[in-house]
Amino acid sequence: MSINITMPALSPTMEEGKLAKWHVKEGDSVSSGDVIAEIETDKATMEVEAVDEGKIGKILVAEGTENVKVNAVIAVLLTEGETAANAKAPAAAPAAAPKADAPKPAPAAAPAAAVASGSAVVAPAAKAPSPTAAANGARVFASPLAKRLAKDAGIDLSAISGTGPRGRVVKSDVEAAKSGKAPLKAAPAAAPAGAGAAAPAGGMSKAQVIALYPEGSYDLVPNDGMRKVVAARLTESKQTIPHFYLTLDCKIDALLEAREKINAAAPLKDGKPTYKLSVNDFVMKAWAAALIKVPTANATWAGDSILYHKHADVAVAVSVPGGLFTPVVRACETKSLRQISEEVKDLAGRARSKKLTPAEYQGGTSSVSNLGMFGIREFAAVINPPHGTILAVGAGEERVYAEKGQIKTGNFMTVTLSCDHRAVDGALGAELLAAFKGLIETPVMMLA
Amino acid sequence: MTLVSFSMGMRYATQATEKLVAAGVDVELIDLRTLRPLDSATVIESVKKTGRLVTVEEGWPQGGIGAELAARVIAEAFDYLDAPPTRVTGKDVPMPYAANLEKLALPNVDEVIAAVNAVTYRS
Repeated sequence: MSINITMPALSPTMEEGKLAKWHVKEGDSVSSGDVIAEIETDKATMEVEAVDEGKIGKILVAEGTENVKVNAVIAVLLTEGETAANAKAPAAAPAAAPKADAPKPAPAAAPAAAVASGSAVVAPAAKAPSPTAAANGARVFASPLAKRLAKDAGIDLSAISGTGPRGRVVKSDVEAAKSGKAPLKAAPAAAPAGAGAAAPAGGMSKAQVIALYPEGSYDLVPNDGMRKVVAARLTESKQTIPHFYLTLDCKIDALLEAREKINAAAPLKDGKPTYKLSVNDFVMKAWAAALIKVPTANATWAGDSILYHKHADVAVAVSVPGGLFTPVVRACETKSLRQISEEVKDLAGRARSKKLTPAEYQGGTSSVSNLGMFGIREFAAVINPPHGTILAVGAGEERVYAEKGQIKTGNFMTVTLSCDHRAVDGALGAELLAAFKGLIETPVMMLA
Repeated sequence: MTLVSFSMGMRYATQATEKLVAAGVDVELIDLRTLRPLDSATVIESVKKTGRLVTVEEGWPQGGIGAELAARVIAEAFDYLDAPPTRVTGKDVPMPYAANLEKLALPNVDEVIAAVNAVTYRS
């Protein structure tokens, strides 16, 4: 009895993913626990391990196939005594999805290119696999007569929009396309990558944007999964969350002093201190403490209700090449500065090598985004749904200030809090930020 | 489109054809006259021109003349079809004794017209 290997769900919300790499080929023997493939989701790359032992009979989804549905059969494993003949693609429905996707990269190139250039006529179906398959692998429904007419006229059926029931392409559609009366569908397959989940509502189409710039004056880089998610999430955030912003200056002389003392006291190991706390670690700690101090602001909007969280799960924005991650430090208020520092370093490191599991960057109740290292004085961050707030931290710098009629200098850091007004009102946000200011200006208070 | 019937079905077919022609539909109405031998050549020749087939009969749908015609047309003129061959038949129930129910169990002109509109993609 051959065993079907299906696309695993790497997180509860995962619906589809990219099959990034096969570590085995047909005929290879695997035993349980062997890594057989790599799956790429929006943000993470995960390894798939074999559960049973046997021989890979057939690989049904080619390497690099995107949008493979969860639970679709990706390979067939043969148990002892079976031959590849037993490994025919299972007739069950799940096989249909990956199969439809599979022929995308190579054979569909011809029609796709023709559609992209906007021309109606493909050279008489030269090597096009079948006139009934759209470049994105979706089946085009057409009446037999329409198929024959389109083939005779050398028209790509996928470029015609059908007017029959359920979008069926019928004779009149082909004739209209032939006489050039009906507009061809706007290159649906031109950017299969862009056709995914992420096309944000509105905005200009790819063709409209490209038309504005002379050809050759730019490099066209198709968006990868992370970029699509970033675009979709932040567009959703700015469009659906009513943001408002609160800004405060924090005097951080005491904090810098405390940090220096703590770092200086770090025990040495091999001549190097065992830890080195950053200002951001203090910010994380103080922010978590502030969220616990003002629990009504540690909130998430959930449609018909609001979640008031019992812990401060603080996400930290980590910039990685091509995008950013927001791994979450869970129950941050319960952790020591050293624990926070180590955890952030570990998460950031793994974020850069894309080895985070979805569980590590999902959820969270608030975020901290720090651009101080670039010398940014202050900025307003976009809330990362489902969080209720995000704290944007600017650079610490020496400034002149007035105190009791005296002009003095001190180190200051400007922070801007973005709040979801549905869950956190103005006064509440101000209370939260004031609590943070109290903690960050008097770090000893974090112990209280 | 091609409209095929025989016997009593021709009444509905003829009346429907008159209305359809008035509405601007190009109808080829075929009276089979004999069922065995079945003049499928004429029907297929017509369907090759029109790409659409509607059959009308008073009998039950399953295993009827319309089913046989559809099978032959699909087998021999598949590439000419622009719409699914469609049958207008009596309802799939035992013929009722009550006159009003009998009338409802049999096909009628409106059903023929509706079927023709469906296969010609007119709504």
